[in-house]
Amino acid sequence: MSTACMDIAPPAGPWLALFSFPPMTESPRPRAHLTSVSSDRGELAAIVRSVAGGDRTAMATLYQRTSAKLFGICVRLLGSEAEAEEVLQDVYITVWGKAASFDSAKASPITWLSVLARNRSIDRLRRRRVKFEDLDAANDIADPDPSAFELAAQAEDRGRLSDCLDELDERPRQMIRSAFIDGATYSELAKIESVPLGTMKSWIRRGLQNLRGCLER
Amino acid sequence: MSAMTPERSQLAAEYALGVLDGKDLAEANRASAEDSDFRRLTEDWTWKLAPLLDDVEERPAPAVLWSKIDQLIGERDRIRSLESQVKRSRLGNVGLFATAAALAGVLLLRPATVQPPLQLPTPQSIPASAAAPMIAMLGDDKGTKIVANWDPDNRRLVLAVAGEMPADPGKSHELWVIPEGAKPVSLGTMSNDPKARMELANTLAELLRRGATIAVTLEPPGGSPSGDPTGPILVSGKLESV
Repeated sequence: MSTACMDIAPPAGPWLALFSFPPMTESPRPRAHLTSVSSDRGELAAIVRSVAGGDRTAMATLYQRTSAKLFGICVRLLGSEAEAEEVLQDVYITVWGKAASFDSAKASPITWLSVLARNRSIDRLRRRRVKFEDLDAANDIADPDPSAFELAAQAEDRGRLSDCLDELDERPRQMIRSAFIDGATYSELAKIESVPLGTMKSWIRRGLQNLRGCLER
Repeated sequence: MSAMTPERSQLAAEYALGVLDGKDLAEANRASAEDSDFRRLTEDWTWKLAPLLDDVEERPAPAVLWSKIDQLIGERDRIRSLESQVKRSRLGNVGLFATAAALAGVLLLRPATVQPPLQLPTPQSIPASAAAPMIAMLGDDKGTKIVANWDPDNRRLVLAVAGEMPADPGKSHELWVIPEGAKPVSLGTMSNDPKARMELANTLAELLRRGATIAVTLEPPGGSPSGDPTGPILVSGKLESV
């Protein structure tokens, strides 16, 4: 559980809802606890297609197969089971509405669902403090650009990400992980690590730069 | 992507990673709304980082959650079909919407501090209006929660709850109108009641124009003590012509 997300302070803005999907690439190094869902990706994709066709039973199956994974992500980010439940509801209702746009040839269903759960949780973290001044921005969640499919072409190679993260120094690696899966901001990470904000920013920025360099090799 | 400066690219990566706050977050939000290259780069980074989510421990979701979701899906489909019927009609008929709201909503809210007339207007009871009626769909990230139906001729605002509003017995739900470019003005607090509508004073009615935002916030019991909103926004939506 993240301590970082318990006191998110900054005024919030919207988080982009990302509904585009990465292409299908076989993972050379699947994580152990994901294998239960990722090993039968084709089957899951078929379930999503049935959901797209309005099949409520398929929806129940999808929930059964993926909810523990997504609930884990939401609880980790939000630090609260009650809020995580609300976000999880939101995620599956979105899935019900958007399943038709899911392209099984390009996407891994579990990655799509995980990113959706992660982004909605981040969105929630930020909305906790939305002020009236930000109402317009908060209401204005942009639709993703379908052409992002192509750009995401090498995106889902978890083996590569893992290798590239391994090349980073330990601190930037930890900070990048914590930011993405705990929802911690620069200022929160700086506070947790007891380093100046500028130091934290340069760790992470350099880390991201090196990561990109490695991923593009 | 060629127009993307190194600073912009960095901002996109930071935005995807989720580390931004304050001004930088606001800037990234703006960039993301205006610049498709920026948006694409952000999405690209998000997918790159997505495998990190594999490491998050699974956690069984509570058993009752599925039945809630299943129910919400059913409601959502019902509301959607009603919404599309309303959009298709383009009659500006308040009565039609009141009917839709009653069908979809199940539960109506009553303003507590504003004079509370008790009956949900039936379609017959609302005269055809010369001034265009307006509708605001008040929602949050889970979709439409309240349908606000504004009849300028009769200065009558009908609120229909179409989804589950978060309940907090220690707090009040306060209704606001936020005219474009202006501060929020309270329309009163609301209490759970299955049937109601409110008639607004002229001064308030003038604020309910197309493009104005209607919002509900969570406030101390009885409403915000300062007259300005203090709590989080539960739902909001813009007034649009029917």
